[in-house]
This record gives sequence, C-alpha cells and structure tokens, in this order.
Amino acid sequence: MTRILCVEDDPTTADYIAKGLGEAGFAVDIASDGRDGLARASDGGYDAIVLDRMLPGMDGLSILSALRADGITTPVIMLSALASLDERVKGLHSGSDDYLGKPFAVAELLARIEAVRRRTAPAAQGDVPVTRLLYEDLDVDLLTRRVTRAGRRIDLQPREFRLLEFLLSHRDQVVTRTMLLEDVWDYHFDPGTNVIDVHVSRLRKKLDEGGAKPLLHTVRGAGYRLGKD
Amino acid sequence: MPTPPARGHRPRWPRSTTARITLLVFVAMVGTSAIILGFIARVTQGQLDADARTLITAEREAIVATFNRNGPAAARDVIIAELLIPGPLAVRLEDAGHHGVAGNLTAWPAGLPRQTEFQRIGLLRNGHDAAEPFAVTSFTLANGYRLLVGRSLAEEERLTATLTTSLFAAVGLALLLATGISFLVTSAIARRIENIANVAVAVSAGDLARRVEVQANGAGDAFDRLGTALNAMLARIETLVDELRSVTDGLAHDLRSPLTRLKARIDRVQRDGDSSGTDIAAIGTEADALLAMLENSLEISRAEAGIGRDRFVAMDLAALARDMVDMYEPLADDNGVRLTAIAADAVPITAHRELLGRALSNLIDNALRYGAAGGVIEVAAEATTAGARLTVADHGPGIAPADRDGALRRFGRLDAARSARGAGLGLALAAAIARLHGGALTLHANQPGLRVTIDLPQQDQG
Repeated sequence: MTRILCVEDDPTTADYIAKGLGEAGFAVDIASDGRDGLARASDGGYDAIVLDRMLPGMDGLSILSALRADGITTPVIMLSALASLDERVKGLHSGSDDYLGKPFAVAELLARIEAVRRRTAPAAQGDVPVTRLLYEDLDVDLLTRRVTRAGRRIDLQPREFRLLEFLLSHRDQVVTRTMLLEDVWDYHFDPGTNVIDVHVSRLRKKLDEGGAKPLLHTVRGAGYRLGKD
Repeated sequence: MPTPPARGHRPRWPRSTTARITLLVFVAMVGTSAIILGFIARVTQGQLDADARTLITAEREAIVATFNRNGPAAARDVIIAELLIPGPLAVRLEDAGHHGVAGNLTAWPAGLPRQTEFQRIGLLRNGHDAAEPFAVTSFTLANGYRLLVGRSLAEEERLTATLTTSLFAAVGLALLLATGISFLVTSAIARRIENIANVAVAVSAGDLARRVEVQANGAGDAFDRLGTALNAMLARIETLVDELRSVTDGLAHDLRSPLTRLKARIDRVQRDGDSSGTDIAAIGTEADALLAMLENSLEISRAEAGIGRDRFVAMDLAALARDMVDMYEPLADDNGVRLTAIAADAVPITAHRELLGRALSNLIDNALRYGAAGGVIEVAAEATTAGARLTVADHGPGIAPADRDGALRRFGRLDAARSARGAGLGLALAAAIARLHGGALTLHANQPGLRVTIDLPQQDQG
C-alpha cells in the first residue's frame, strides 16, 4: 500500500487531505508540526510527502532542505497559501518535486502525487533514452515525430505532439489542466477559460478519428487520463 | 505607539529653537568681544605707559646731567625754561630741607619714594584747578637734593576713554546686528520647518491631500528640495491609499453578489437537498470565481508594490506572443475568430516572463470575450526605439474614448451592472504588470475595434 506523509498544521486541511487520499487507497500519516514532520520523514518508508510551506516549529522549506541534506529523496509536494506566480515558481526552484497553491482540489493533489511517484520510479529502470512510445495501437516516434494509430498516420501540430507525449508518459494517470499548462506550455498561471480543454479535445478528435476506441478520457472535476476506460 | 504632539504644544518647539540659537549667538558674541576688548585695553595701556616712561626718563636724565655738571642753579634754570611753555610736564626740585628750588608743584607728593623709576600718581600742578593722573619718576641728587619729573596722562586717558567708548559702541552695534540677524535667520528656518511639520501633522491627522508649499521657481534651496521630495512621497502615498481604498471597495462590492448567491444556493441545498448535484456544482463554480477574483486582485497589488522585479530574465517577446497565440488559437477558432501572431522577428527584452504571459493572455482573453464579432484578432510583438511593444488588436465594438480610463481601473467594467463573470480585473492586472516593467498599457481606437498596446522600456541589466 502506498504510504503518504502529510505535514500540515491546520486540522481541517489535514482531514481533507487524509480523507481524500484515503478514499483513493493511500495510507496517510499526519504530522501537525514541523519537527514531528521532519522526524517521521527522516525515518523514511513513505512513498511521497505532502508538505505545508508554513508550519509551526520549522517551516516547510527548512524541512525540505534538511531532508535533501540527509539524502532522503522521497518526492515532496509543497502546499502553500502563498499561491502567487512568483511564490509558485520559487517553490519549484527550492527543490520540491511539485508545488500546489491553497486552496486546491483533492483530484489535483492526487494527480500530482501520482505524477511525482512515477517520475521518480522509472529512473531506476535503465538509462537507455526512450525514443518510441507505444500504447495499445498508438505508436509515437519521438525522433521523427511520426504518430500512427493502427497504421493510420496522424498529423499533429508541434504543440499537440508535446501534449500527446506528456499524456503518454503519464498513461493511466490523471493529469490536470494546470499540470498540462506547466509541462507542455511552461507557464504557471491559470488562463481561466477552457483554453486547455480545447487543445485536448482537438488532440482527441485526431486520435479517435475513424471510429477507433477512445484513448483520451475526461475525468470530471479533475482533468484527463490517457488509457483504458 | 508614539502619539502625535498636542496642538497647543506644537508651535513652541520652533520658537524655542529660535530663542536658543539667538541666545547662543549673543553669548558667543559677548564672550568674543570681551576677550578682544580686554586684549586691546592691555596692549594700548602698555604702549601708553612705555611712551610716558621714555619721555619722563629722558627729561629726568637731562636735568640730572645739568645738575651734576653745573649745580642746582643751572638745573633750576633748565626747569624754568622747560616750564615756560605750557605742557604736560610736572617738575619739582627741592633741597635737603624740602624747600622747593624749582618746579610747578608746591610739595613733594605724600608717599612717593625718594627714588623710583616709574609710578602712577595723582598730582595737582600750580595754576591748575584739579588733580590729574601722572606718570612720575623721582631721583635723589647730591647734597640731599631730590628731583621729581612727571608727565600728565590726562590726554592719553581721554584717548583711551574715547577708544573704549567707540569699541564698546561698535561691539554693541555688532551684537545687536548679530542677534537680530540670527533671530531673523533662525525664525525663517524655523518657519519653514514648522510649515513642513504642519503638513506632516495634518497628513497624520488624515488629510492626505496636504502638500508642502514650494516656491514656484523653486529648484532652489535645501528646503525646497525637501518639500518637493516630501510632496512626491505624499502624492505616491495618496495614490496607493486611494488605490487600496478602491480595491477594498471594489472587492467588497464584487464579492457581495457572488457570496450572496453562494449563500442562497447553500440555503437551498440545506432545505431541499441536491439530488441532481447541480447546486453543489454551481457552488463550486462560484467559489472558483471568487478565488480567481481574489488571486487577481492580490497579483495586481503585488505588481503595484514592485514585487517580482528580482525575477526579470532575458527573454524573447516575440516567442511569448507566439506561445500565447498558440495557446488561444484553438479556442479562438472554436469561436469563429482568426487569431494571428505578427511576431516573426525575435524581440529580446528583460522582463518577468510569467507575468507578461499572464498580461498578454488577459488581453487576448478580453479580445475574445468582447471583440470576437470582428472575426480577426492580431497579436504583435515588435522592437521600438524605446524598447518593445506588445499589441492586441480586435475589430469588435471597441471602447469609447470617454470610457477608456474606467476600463483600466480595477473592477472597472464597462457594463455598469457587474455580472459574476470576469470581475474586470484583466485589463487592470495587465496595466499593473506593464507598470511593474516601467512601461505603460494604452487603449487605442482600431477603427473599428480596440487596440491595446503595452510599451516596455529597455530594462537596465543587472
């Protein structure tokens, strides 16, 4: 079972996280102050840590640097009420694996936990660079940028290609709109309207053209998932 | 917390400063004058005494020489000859029996030794009404004779007195002048300081519109510079406070209606339940809108406060324009709008990439929202002589010149009754981001439509 440590001093938020992650099948431990959090995180054994930035006793950034100094590489997602653009970018540069502004949806947190867990996992697999992504009847050549589905050639715009590449490398995971915006476009603000949705639905249309089985699914209230139903 | 000074107490400070400085100048002047006068008196007295001494010694030597050579009678003749012309001399030659042989004194002055080099003494000469001050020397001759030669100091003392009087008069006049000038200067300075202090007091009391009076032609003295600097600071503070007030008012106004709707929906769910889930979904949407509004508002305040200047990076404005067009193109296409980028050549600038991206995305979003009817929206990035320019131009209904200022204000929406969607922060945030970069956002007519430009100056590196 996946174990998550949640370091959060606000009991309501901590409950919200514990409940949401619990329903998704995670085992969640809660530490309510910085020192306790650091002690538990140092024992290891967690698959991911959700760390509030502002904590009594010891703040999130100090805990993070203490952990990394001890050689503990457990993925960390930083939570913060300091959600301005600058703070978000600063948080990411401080060594956390991801940064999420408060308030947030559990779906977003879940998606990001999945993403950081998988990002750190396959690094051990091997060091041969991936040049080709295969999924079901979809074949994506990263070098020639050629995409085929069941032998049918699909023409993609460069941005659509980046989008597909990201979704494929996160197959069977939920990816949220903000994750797409951050990774595919490299911007950290929320354009608000359904800008991203339109991109995804275009890609979906191209992928599923000709009555093929749908690959790209919309996850209500969260984002998208490329994979089986 | 320091309390502001009480009104009655305030004016005493500059006045007592005036008094203190004037007094200080006065005391310093008196002290200096006393030293100078004392010095002059000493030097003058010494010089006069030395002159008198030389004269009486010479006179005495002459008489003594005649006496020694030719006897008392010859000396008497010399003395009589000397005294024939009226002058400052006093002489008495007397024999051993103290009988006067020659001279213009009736008796040997009491207490004068038989032999002395120099002494000051009062003497009454024959034929004079009053005693005068004299410098006197006496000498004992052969056969018990003795000689007294004196020189009147009346003339010298008159001179000294005149000198002293005029010196005192001059010093007194100087004192008066110095005191007066120092009073005038100090009180002028104090008045100007008081003027500034009054403004500070008025501003702390809440009158933010008060300004220090500065002379019209005035890049003049230090006080004018202080006043100008203070006025600039006050103007900035007033702007910020006004802005804060308008944000608070706007936020309160704009938050009230969605919050009321939110509360109404929650009440309904409590009462009737929400089997279809539509109410809960609507509540979520309202909450998201509220959060977005809050975040935008905070982002504007941060930009206005200059936060983020440390994150400026070298970037290509044209690439940013292409990115944003690329991001919005499918959405525009769905709305039947052709969104094009005119940004082929690189436009290198130093700027906050995320914030500029956000500003541009707001402008494109606005153009899509209000200018979609025009069918074409152009986004351009170009280098200018002053720096760089971003342009978003639509062919929609545009904004009337009279309404343009209002459109740039926070919460300034063109439709008077604000709806929940889009709290009118987009343009205000873009304008704030332009100002953060030292640039400006301007609205122009596009005939037809609206053309929004963000002009960015060349940033100093480092």
